[in-house]
Amino acid sequence: MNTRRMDFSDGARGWARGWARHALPLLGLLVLGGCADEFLTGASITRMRLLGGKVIIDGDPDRAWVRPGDEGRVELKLAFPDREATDMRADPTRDVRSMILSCTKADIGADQAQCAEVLELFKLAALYQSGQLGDDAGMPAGGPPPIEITEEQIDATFEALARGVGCDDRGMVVGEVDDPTDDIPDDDIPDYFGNAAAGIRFVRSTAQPANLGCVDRLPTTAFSLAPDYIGRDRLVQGVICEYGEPVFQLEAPFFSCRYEVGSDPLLPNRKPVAEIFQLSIGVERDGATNAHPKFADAPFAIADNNDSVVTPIFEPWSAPTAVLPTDCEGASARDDVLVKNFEDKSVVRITLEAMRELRSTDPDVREVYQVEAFSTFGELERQFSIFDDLDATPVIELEWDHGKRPRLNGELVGGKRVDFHFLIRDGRGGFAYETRTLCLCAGACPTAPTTPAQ
Amino acid sequence: MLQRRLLVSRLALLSSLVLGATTGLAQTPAGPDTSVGGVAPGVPVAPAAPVAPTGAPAQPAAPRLVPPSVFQFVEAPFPQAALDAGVEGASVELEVLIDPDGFVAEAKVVTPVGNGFDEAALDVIRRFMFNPASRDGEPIPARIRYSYIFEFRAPVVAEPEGPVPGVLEGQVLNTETNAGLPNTEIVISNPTGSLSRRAVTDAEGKFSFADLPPDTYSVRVFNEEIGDQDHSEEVRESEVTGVVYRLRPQAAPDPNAYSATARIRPPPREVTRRTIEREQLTRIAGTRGDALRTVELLAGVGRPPFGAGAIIVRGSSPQDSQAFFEGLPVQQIYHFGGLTSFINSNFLQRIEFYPGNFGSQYGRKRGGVIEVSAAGPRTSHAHGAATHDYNLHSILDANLIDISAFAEGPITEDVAFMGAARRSIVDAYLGDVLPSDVRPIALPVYYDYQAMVTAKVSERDNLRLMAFGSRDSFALVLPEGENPKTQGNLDLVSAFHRVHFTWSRRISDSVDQDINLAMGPLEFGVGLGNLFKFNLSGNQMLGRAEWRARLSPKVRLIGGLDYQQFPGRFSYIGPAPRIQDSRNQGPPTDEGNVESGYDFNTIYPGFYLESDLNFDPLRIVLSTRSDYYSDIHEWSFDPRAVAHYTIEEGTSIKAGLGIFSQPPQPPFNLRDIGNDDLNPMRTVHATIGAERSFTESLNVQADVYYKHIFDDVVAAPLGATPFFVNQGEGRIYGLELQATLQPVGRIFGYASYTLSRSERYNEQDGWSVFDFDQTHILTVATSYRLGRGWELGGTFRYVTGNPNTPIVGSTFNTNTGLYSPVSGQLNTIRSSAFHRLDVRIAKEWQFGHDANLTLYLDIQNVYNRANQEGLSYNYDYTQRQVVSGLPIFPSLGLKLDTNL
Repeated sequence: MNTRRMDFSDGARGWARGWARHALPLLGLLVLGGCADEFLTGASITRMRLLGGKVIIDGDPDRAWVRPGDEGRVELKLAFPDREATDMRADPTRDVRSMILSCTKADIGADQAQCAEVLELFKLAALYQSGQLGDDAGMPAGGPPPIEITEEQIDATFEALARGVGCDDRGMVVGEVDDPTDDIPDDDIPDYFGNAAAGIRFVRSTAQPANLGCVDRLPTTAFSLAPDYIGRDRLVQGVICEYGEPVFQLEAPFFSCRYEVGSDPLLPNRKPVAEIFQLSIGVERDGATNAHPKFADAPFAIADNNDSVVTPIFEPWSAPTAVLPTDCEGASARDDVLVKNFEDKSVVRITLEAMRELRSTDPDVREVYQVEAFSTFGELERQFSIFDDLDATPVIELEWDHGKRPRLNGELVGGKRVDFHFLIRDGRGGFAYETRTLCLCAGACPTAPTTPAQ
Repeated sequence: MLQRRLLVSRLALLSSLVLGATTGLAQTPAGPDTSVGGVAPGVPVAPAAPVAPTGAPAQPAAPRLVPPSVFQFVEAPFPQAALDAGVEGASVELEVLIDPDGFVAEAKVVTPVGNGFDEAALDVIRRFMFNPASRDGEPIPARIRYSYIFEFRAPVVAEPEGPVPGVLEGQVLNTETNAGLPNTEIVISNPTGSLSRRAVTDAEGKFSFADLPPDTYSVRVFNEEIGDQDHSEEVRESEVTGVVYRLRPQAAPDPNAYSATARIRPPPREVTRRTIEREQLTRIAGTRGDALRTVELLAGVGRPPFGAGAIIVRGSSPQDSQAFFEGLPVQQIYHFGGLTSFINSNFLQRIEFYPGNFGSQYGRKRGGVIEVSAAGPRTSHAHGAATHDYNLHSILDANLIDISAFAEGPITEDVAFMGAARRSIVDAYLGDVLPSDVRPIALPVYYDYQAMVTAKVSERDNLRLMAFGSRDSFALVLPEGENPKTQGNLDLVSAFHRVHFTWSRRISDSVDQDINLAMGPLEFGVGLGNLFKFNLSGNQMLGRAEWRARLSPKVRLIGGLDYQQFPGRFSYIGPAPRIQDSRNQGPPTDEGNVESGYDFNTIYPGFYLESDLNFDPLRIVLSTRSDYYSDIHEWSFDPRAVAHYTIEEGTSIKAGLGIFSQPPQPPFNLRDIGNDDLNPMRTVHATIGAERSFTESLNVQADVYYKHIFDDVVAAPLGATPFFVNQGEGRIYGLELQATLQPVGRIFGYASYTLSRSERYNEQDGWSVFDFDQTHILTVATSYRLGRGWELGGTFRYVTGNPNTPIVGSTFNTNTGLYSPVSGQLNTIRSSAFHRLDVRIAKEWQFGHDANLTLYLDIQNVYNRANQEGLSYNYDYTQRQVVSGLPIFPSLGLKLDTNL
């Protein structure tokens, strides 16, 4: 079942009553509407997808929150419908480019994170334009002269923010940002700016330099935090383009992909994808810490599931040691690849650590785990599974329906590789992921490993 | 001096007929005419002098003929020439040809008397309306002699006129012949039974009760040969309430004819007042008999998505309009966002709707006002002259949604009660139809109750005590889905209880006082897992005191205090508040959630002063209102003016101009998460319109309006502190047409059309159409009694689809694993148009005079139109599909009405 996201078009509803009215149509939908089965399910990888981002701190890869003086990188986990994300170099025709911006996360309490530098710039511009900037002490008679900040100047400042990052086939572009007013001509800033700026809590970016790195061509951005950094969380924003060029613009969401029809002869047959994203990076304060969750000790198992099976017999399901060809060539000879026929649905079981991390700010409360599952073929029962503090035995069982047999040019495909991706989010920036592969065979099916496991 | 003299015109139907049967004109026997009409409100009505017939003798073999009678009298000014000449009276004899529609086709003076009397009489006689003559029930033309009498009355010394009592007058007609029913007994009684009067209709079937204190009267109409009827009529100060009752000559009372009133009222003090009377409230298709849902039929009322119970008035936000129950605001009028109203329909007397330029007694809102009036309990005294006395009148009503009970009756001679209660029964079967993965904790339940006791403690004092309340609640466990944040509990509770005390006192003959005091607890809470929780609770205290003084026959002054206090506490955990609009907010997420909560005590005192200046035919109402808002520490000052000009009886033009202020509402005015330094939002209302009553039952109104909104609360740029500012603007303009057919015989109906445009401006989006901009709204509703207890009704509605904002992309939050939409330009697309036909079929069985049983089927969306109510999107907003509203929805119900 796919939960719908609603847009009821009745804009100026009362706030809390608006929620109440949302709740009622939701109830009505449950009763009258049921599920929207026509929609693509979020658990199915049908295009390039960004699944998550992981902060990796040099020398301390388990830690999810950064400290002043840390250096490290953010790796973005991608998934593709027809191959492993880490195998990008195997397909030189695939064009994936990205642009990433690193900044200070604004404390505005909005569900959409914003760069503090961007907000401050806008506020600064508004103050200039309204003539309110300044105080009596340094203000000329008659008030401060209005100073126009042109769009070009604002644009230039954004460029300064943005150019610190990026990773594409054309090499790295490195920039440095420390003050968004750098691009405002000094002559236009009156002496009393300092006083006014103090009043608006002007924020200096400390995400500098935003060094770039590319790990196996995965979009990655490096960071270093000043040793004396005391401030807000960091924010990473950007775009990943498949068959397109990352573009930065002055309006939200600030990023997009530009596609030049004709420049890529294969483009007509490819579906461009623009994945615009944001990622918050926590900064340790007051002794509070957070570590990444772990899949490492979580046994993965899979079993056939049909009406005649009362208790599914699970068999271990380990991670592949090498990339399996999409047609499963050589699958039967490999111990690390599960081979499965088309006869039955499957059920996947993951047993997570029972003792999850305690919240450092509330030692009696364990983290809430949000586990997500994706497959590149067939349909998983659901994408999300939640384990709250009270779930003592976090075991996930997900039914996977392989659906119809895949065909190629009208003929049944002998074997088809199916990738599964599993993620854990701890809701505080901690992230972990695992990948599993199986070969779905039609017709003559190679013998599968048979060691059962409970 | 003319203004100190009261001019009384008398008329008499001289008599009949000039032409013979071959011409097709009636030859009517002469008869006395006791028609009255057109006198100033509150003026005792003098019966007209009978005049001997002068026409030809009636043909003995002619079919049954009924002479014409005056339906609408027009008063002529006393000629200045006669005043100058010292002539104090005259009688002008006219010959008048009345067509089958009752209009005057020809008129001429038979015996001129000079001094301007002839011209004055001729001028007004052409504006008379008559009940046409009939032959065997068929209207026919008739020529009659008519004597128009001018007479001076001695100047009236300006005695201190108090609140002028009202008049109840009318006519009882034979439904089949349309002829007046003489010797019909009319007995009226006020709610406490302390005032009871009796009258017998004259030869024309007419009757009149003058000098009635304003109140709601039970009326029993009893004709020995034909039967009886019960009615409830409100007599208002200074107003003449005109009624027409129709009785069918058969053994039992005619169950098929509507028995409704045609009211003749002076122009309202508001520019536009639309009224639905009790008789029609529960018979409109598509409302399941719910009175308050009939408001949606009226011109100027928009339609919210899913019919969710919000009242959209003239392109305003639902939060800008207010419903009042007996003069005090109620914060919720529907259960579960529109399912059914919070008050039993039998408890109601009338609903009045003011779409704009409303009176100064209403404040703190800048949209429209709905005033819901409770009926007074009937007493046994209303039936003193009838054969069917009773002690308890009760109604039981059950349908697939809820069960309700209503009862009223006398307690003592001066005390009467009325009570009602209702509970939903959806929880009895909803659990069986919910998807298996939705686990109910508490299925949706609502209930409401109302109770009223009235007492007349003295000739000058009336007391009323009401208690009423309502509660909605449900709790579900939602399944895991594509959004991990929306799993868990979904719960809602909304409740209020109130005690409402009213003291009406006539302080002197010229000063009236009404005091309303109410208080009671209020609770509202909604939660969605750990993602969103809002709770608000406290005790509301409401008060209104109004004094009305008549300073002279032309000047009335009204002053009032309007007080609201709400001490309570709120707590909130959820996304940072934002201005709601059609931009998709994306999936609920706890990223950036804010938390706030504190005790508060909002105090809103208000003061108003209104002068009602009646320079007939021009009436001007000037008023001002001032309010204080303790939460933002601001005052508002709202001057308002309304003018009515009566062109002729039944036809008037009107105009109004005024400022209407409204405090910003939570959460925008809350500290921490809002801005408690905002100013009141303001709107200028300007309306011009015209109204014409074509017949006793057909009324047409047309209004053109413009509203300019300023100081509207909008989001601060980029959501920065102080989060919200008074920098928004708006403009709304439109045209409204409404035709109302009051119950005539077996039919009544409404037709309304609204053409409008509603736009808003803010710095970020510029000018854009508002979320509730609905260009065309057409509503047609009617009900017809087929006979043998069957009744068939239908309602059709067409509404332009609501604006919507396109989604042009999405962004992925790697911390939550969810996509958020990227909105395009605000409100640049629209949902498809809404249209729907509802049908109501009812069958009534009468069991003697003491009980009747009604089985009704209310079918909403008869042709199962899949109306677009919204859009739903897939996980990354790359796919969307239409969310349709209510499919065909039949509701079967049973109603038992007994008098014990």
